[in-house]
Amino acid sequence: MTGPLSLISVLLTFFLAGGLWVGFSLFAIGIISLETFKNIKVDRFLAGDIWGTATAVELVTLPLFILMGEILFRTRLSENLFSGLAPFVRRLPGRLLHVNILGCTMFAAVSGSSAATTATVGRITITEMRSRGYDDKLIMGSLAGAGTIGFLIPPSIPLIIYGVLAEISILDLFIAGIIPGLILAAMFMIYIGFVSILHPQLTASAGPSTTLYYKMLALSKLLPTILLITLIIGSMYLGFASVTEAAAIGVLGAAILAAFEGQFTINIVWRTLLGTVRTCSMIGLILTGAMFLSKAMARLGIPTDVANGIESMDLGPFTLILLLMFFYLALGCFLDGLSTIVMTLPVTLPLVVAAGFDPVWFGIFLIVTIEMAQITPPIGFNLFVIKSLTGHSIMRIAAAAVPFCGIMVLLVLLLILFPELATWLPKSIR
Amino acid sequence: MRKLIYILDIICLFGAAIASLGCLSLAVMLIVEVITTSFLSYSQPWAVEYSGYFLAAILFAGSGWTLGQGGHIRVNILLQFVEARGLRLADLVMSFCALILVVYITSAVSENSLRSLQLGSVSYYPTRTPLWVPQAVLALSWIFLCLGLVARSLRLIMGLPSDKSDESLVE
Repeated sequence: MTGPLSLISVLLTFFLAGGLWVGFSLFAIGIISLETFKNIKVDRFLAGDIWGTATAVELVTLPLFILMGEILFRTRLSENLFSGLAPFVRRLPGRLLHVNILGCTMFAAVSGSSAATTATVGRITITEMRSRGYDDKLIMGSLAGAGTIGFLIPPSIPLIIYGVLAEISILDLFIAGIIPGLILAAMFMIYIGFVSILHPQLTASAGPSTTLYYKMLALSKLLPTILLITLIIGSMYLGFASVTEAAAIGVLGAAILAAFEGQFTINIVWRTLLGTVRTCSMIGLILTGAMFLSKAMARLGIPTDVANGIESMDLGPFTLILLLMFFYLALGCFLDGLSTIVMTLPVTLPLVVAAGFDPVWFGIFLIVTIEMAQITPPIGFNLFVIKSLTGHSIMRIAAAAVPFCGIMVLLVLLLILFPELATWLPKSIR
Repeated sequence: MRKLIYILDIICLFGAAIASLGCLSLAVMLIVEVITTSFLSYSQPWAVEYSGYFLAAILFAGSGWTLGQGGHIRVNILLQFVEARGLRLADLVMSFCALILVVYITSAVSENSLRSLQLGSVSYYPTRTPLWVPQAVLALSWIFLCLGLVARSLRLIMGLPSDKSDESLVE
């Protein structure tokens, strides 16, 4: 291990374990390493770098998609998702539990945040299913698992961050995430179906059948959401709008939806904007810190050193990717997904690309892997969201999410064995 | 001392209001851009440039307020095993470390803005905006973060709760 890499590893452990905020830790390590090993004007380099990242045009989509999610979070979307989807799943084994999966998949298509997806869908489904006698463990597990789909289905904030850091097309990443996202949702539904057939006591009875008129009425409640999804995703994929324009259209659509529901008061707008600012500030600090550290590491030659070190171990591409999978799974137990991406990417991406992997594929692989970090204790944001909704302990919710975590591992293995799952769609659309 | 903390909180909230205004302006500007380019074949010449400046304000002006809301990410895995008094001390030490770091960064970005003013640097977009203006907003944003850290440190010294949490969609 080289001097700079040793120093960075020690400082990173010290700062993070000591409780220094992740963004500050990244800045501090970058500054200390450059001051120690390089004879440059670090303050000028730092100021230029912060200015460059803070005004990077490719990041403009970030606040817009967050704003859209915040607006929709405050509408009656969660109620509409439940009443719109419930009549269509009553015959499936597992019944209303599928609303968790389908609701999260739909909300994920209009929100980039996994925690927002979990909170929006969970705040209505948990109460409804509990009152009907569904098993608490299955309710929480399915919600925890399905909430993470928000990372894969576009517009996804982690995919935007990955695209900016890896300097690859965000649209390609958005397209690449669709098939794995839908496969993951299908796998969750199949699992729920099997468990419900094996243990029927875990779910409630189907309840009375509904008329076609009622079903159509229920579906009409979903119409605005479906329109919004079509507008955003359709405009991007059909080439009518860039990702930024699609995000602006999304904000407009969400605002119209909120206005129709009478959710456009000054107070709600203020809280919506503050919610957006809070999330953007959190991401901004980590992202600029990571971009600075990544450039500092490049100046110190660390990615090359690590790549040479790994190369000398003569690992095959398959072994390398399996090692990375375990590395990210372990890291996910201690760090949140976003921090994991920004801190490791400067080192891991060159390795993976040198081993012959497609950076778009690696983005999807990475996102699925860090999705698990959302539902593994002690730092899993979705666990905290579900805790606030159910009142159960983090460990109990995490235990309920274990089977769904296992399904995600299965998806990662599928992605390794069949990389076309992520690469086929972007290649065929482009 | 409580009055000082209150004033610092108000200043940080003012920073969040600037960020919110930036967010609103960005959304409105880009919605107008989509409409004008689609239907009137007209593109606002400042749209790309100013979206970057608005972004800088959105990402940083509310950072001090976000800190007070407990919105920035930190790893508490080891700290949860420390007893309350030790935890407060560790928090105070890390808040001081963060404050030193942020003062350094603030001085670097402020100097950058001053340098642009002295050199008369302007943007390479048609508007030829003097760069020191948006850079000064960025420097001001880092000052808000400094003040947020000062408020946090004072709270810890006085034995008050260091931050508060509200409904959050944080990733």
